Amino acid sequence: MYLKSFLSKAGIVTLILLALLSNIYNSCKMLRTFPDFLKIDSVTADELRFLPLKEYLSNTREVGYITYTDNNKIFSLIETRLKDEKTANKAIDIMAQLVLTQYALSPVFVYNQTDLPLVVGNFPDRLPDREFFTKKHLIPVKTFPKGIILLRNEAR
Amino acid sequence: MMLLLSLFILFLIGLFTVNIFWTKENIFNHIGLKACIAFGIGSGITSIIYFFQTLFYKISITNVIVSEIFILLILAAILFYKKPIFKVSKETCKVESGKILNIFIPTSFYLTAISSFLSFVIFSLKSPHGNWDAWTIWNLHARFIYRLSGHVVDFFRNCPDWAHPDYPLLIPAAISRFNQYSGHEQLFSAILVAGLFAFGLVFLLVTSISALKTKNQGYLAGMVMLSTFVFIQQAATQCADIPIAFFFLATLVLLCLKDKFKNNSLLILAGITAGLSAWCKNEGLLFIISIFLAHFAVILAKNGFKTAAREVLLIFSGLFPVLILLLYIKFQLFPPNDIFANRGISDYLSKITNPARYAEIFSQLLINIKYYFCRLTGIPLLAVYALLAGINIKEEHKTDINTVLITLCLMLAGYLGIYVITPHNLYWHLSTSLYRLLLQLWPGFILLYFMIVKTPEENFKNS
Repeated sequence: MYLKSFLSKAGIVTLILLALLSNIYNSCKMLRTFPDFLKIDSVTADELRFLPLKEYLSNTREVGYITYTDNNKIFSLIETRLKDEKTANKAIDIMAQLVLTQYALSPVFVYNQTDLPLVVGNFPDRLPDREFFTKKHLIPVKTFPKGIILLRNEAR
Repeated sequence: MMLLLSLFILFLIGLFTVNIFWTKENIFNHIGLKACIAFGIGSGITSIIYFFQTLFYKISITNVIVSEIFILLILAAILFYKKPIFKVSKETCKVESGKILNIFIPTSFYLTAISSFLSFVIFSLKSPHGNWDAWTIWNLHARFIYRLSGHVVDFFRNCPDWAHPDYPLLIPAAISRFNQYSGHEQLFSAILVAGLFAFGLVFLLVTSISALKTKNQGYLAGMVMLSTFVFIQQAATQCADIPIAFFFLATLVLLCLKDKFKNNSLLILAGITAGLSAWCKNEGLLFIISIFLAHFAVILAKNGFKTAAREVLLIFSGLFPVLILLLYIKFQLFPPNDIFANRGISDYLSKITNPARYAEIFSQLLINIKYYFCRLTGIPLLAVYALLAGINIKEEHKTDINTVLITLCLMLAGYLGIYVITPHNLYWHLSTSLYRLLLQLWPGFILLYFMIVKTPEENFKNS
């Protein structure tokens, strides 16, 4: 009887202490990242990159998209590279660049294709040669800072 | 200031709705529990009103306030007509035995809550736009609704497929509504929605178990929820998984409270919250089916067909208005869902008859349960606690326990079934979503668990 009573009390105390300690531990772990969490996050940084283009496109309804990777590979890469963390992360980055472009430019619709009258080029590392664009019938309209370029489709 | 006003109106709309159906009770009885449910229902109703306005005209703050106050006045009139609102309550909460217990457990809970809140704030500061899914889907949709106000139909017609324009809009519309009240877009709106649902869920768990069992049992449940690995992180991602978990829990709680308060009107409220779960995320549709089947089966076995049919009809009557809106949006506006679109029977059959898929799903299920729910404060601790504290299933709770258990089993079976037929790469689909689906059901499991194990009061009384 006494043992049962003792065990039930021990159970309550254990539950409370473990829940409390694991929570406080997590908070302290988070606090230790200070002042990292006050820095500008990557999504905000990307939004700032696109700000000049966003203002430029204020009367545009839709744009295409071009980057280093072929458009038809942007979403399919991830499925073939899933089990290798390193290549999977690279594939996610490529996909994320397109998604972030849409996120930053909304309500302009960003389509993963180059056959629209206006196409946004997103090249965060380095702008490619002019030849890269002419092969795809794209003519630069305006170059923005940090690897962003607006292109016009010659064929349209 | 305007944000506070938006919260106040949202809360009042929810509270009045709750009290219209929570008949036989004074408005101030179980105010904490009602407030939690009210917040969820208020968020759902205001998001629906807001979203439908954005479909038809460019919305302004005046439009929003006038329409919401109009709804509020209608609800207030119904409530005033139905019963006296401000009668002083005679019912007081039972004060349980054991003074130390009554100080130690609540204090520990509030310390855990403060610590979790701190973690939530830090996570939100680190990622104010939320995680991948938040800015690919929920916050992106919120931007489209806010920025395309009056032309939101364009969003459904032109949004790229990868942004899932077929996903329900409770969260995006709620975020956009807060932005409208603020007068500009701000990241804080999405953080506020995420935080309110996360901590609303915890307090709903605490107050509901307090009402069904005892206060200290409620606090213990809240602590377990707060210390669940990834709960706070997932809440801070600003995705819709925690909000839908809130509506699942609210529905289950209302079904349980129906028996306690002998109040069938609570079934109508359960219908509303079940409907709002489908307005929050597509998984809500599966939940609606599960809740109907589970409740019907349990009541059929207990009280026969007539009672079961009547109760299911009451749930349906609450669900009906939300369901009509949902069906309208699904068939008129939303593009087809990526899992079911453009697929033939042979495609489904080839997946259903492939045993390797089942093996992979169950293996991933075990891996996810082990990784996310078998941490220090997860299932092992709950198992040990149940052994030490003991189990006490009261006769009055048997129906509720069966309903919750069957619903959770049906939901899990449904989720796993979707993985069987998914057109996506199975490994990718499982690894990116299974833990979130399990987290949606976790609060329901905690409700079930704490209805079964002995309360601290029972254990201390015996000593």
